[in-house]
Amino acid sequence: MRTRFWKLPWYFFIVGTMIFLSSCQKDSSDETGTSSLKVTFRILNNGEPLNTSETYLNFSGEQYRVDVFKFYVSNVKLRTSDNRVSEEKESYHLVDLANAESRELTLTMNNGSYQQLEFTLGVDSLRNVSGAQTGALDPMLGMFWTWNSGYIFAKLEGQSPQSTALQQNFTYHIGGFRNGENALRKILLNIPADKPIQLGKTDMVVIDVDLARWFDGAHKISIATAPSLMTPGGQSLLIADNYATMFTLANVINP
Amino acid sequence: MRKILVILLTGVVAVGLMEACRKADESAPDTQSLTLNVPQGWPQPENIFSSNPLTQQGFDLGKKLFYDGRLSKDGNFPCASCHQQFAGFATFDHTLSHGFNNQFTTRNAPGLFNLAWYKEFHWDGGINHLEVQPLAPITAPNEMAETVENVIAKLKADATYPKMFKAAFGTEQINSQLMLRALSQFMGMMVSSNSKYDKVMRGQSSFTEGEMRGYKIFQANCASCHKEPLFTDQSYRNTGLPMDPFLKDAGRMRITRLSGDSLKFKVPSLRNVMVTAPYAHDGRFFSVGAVIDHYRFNVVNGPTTDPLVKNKFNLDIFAKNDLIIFMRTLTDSSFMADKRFSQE
Repeated sequence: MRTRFWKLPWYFFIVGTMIFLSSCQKDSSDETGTSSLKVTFRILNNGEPLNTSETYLNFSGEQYRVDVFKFYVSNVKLRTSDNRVSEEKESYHLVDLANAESRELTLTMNNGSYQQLEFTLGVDSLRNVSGAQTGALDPMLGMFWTWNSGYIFAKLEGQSPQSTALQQNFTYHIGGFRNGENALRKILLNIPADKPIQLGKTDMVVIDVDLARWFDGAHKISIATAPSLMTPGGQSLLIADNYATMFTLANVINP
Repeated sequence: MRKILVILLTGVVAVGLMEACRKADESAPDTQSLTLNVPQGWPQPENIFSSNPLTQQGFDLGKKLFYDGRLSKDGNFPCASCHQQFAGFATFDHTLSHGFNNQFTTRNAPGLFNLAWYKEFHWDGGINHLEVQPLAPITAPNEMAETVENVIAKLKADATYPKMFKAAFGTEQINSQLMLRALSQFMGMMVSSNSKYDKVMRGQSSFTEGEMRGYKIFQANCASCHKEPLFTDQSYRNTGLPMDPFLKDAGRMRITRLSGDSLKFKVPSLRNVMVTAPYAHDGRFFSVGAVIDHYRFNVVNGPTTDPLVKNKFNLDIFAKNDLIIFMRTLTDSSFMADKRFSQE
């Protein structure tokens, strides 16, 4: 006996259609969906926009001018008041003073209303030991130690008349992920209760980065005594403590 | 009967559709996969190819890159300029290798083989993954002296490379990650496991009396650091070599900054030792005999000198000669002649 297709029972077509639709659908585990969120970093020095042609003073009266300032922002998370977390996937961003575009991140996160923003300054240890990376972690970007495998988490270079190094330069390449030299720092920014980050609604989150804290944060760093720090561990850890204090939430711009 | 037919048909259609979608997602290039063979009795290699599957196309691309001078600033220093196949991919007859603008490197170039089994690279172990090793010589001002950015630009401008990247990785978008993965495939496939020693271990050959005496001396004096079958335990040790006053190389301490690691260097493999002269991190010994004499007479005892060598080796001239005779059995001439690794 032959079965003609128009004689097949109705449920064949329903099941078939469901399978057809589901087989090509992207995996969407969250039912709430995702939206993009703009996060802007404003780089400042003592509250004023950082200017590479200006000379600044640190705590001990040392003068300095900045040529290069960049750092990794990674593993961005948003947390609700009841501690539910949305994580950005492949969350690695290089924020660079010299590149305005790099200071405006567009994150894709789960919809929701959030009271805390978290990120890591640096690159997690796994990515430091997993071979060649790409995107923001491309070694081409000059943030990778080629002779001692690992990422430079933050870079600050410039000049100071008080520097005892060649051509009065100061050079800080701070990184390190191993025990005893861990320069990764978690940054937690609480969001005011009346201005939560609302995915899909919030226009922009503005974060201030105050470079003055690099020298004058949890520890006092003197350019004259430490003009060059370019290896993990040691005094680099003091700067890591300092750069952890650079960030403040400036604004959540809701419509 | 009809119901069974319907269920079967539904199943077939579903599987067909799923397959169709999976194919569209992957867009895998038509590659021919390669296998890294683990020689009999060897440990498992490091897990470096799980995110970088070995293919003939990736290997071929890696080989072209290995022999291409454009990875260096002036075009004169491909990887192969310091890593010569006939010398076990070390630099033949050079204490230190030459780099850009008539400069010397600061350490003796090691032979390249069995790299997939190594956890760390360089004499000081500063490199933690085979994929990122080439970044060091490419960017070192006294070696290839180039920037990664320039290398990628040169590869993009070439007529052949975009096609080879497409064949290997399914994209013509050349980037540093894919370049390094191709190099890793080529270098990781270099396995040297066919010396007379290996044949003896496999029961395909036997040692002469002298070789056997030498093997026993080796086992008693050398094998705890030069551990079989790789002939290195991959540790860092101070073998009692006084610091060269010009190079001032503190070895492993450069990486760990621990004074306890001062003057420690990675234990080199003794495989192919007869073709990789000169020896030690700065190439200060021109013969295997001179190395053995160091352990017999000249070990300098300092705070980090390894306990295994500090009392010097009590070997007479006959033992020394037997040891050398044994070390000759570690030469894998089939590896040195293997066309898969040769420049085309």
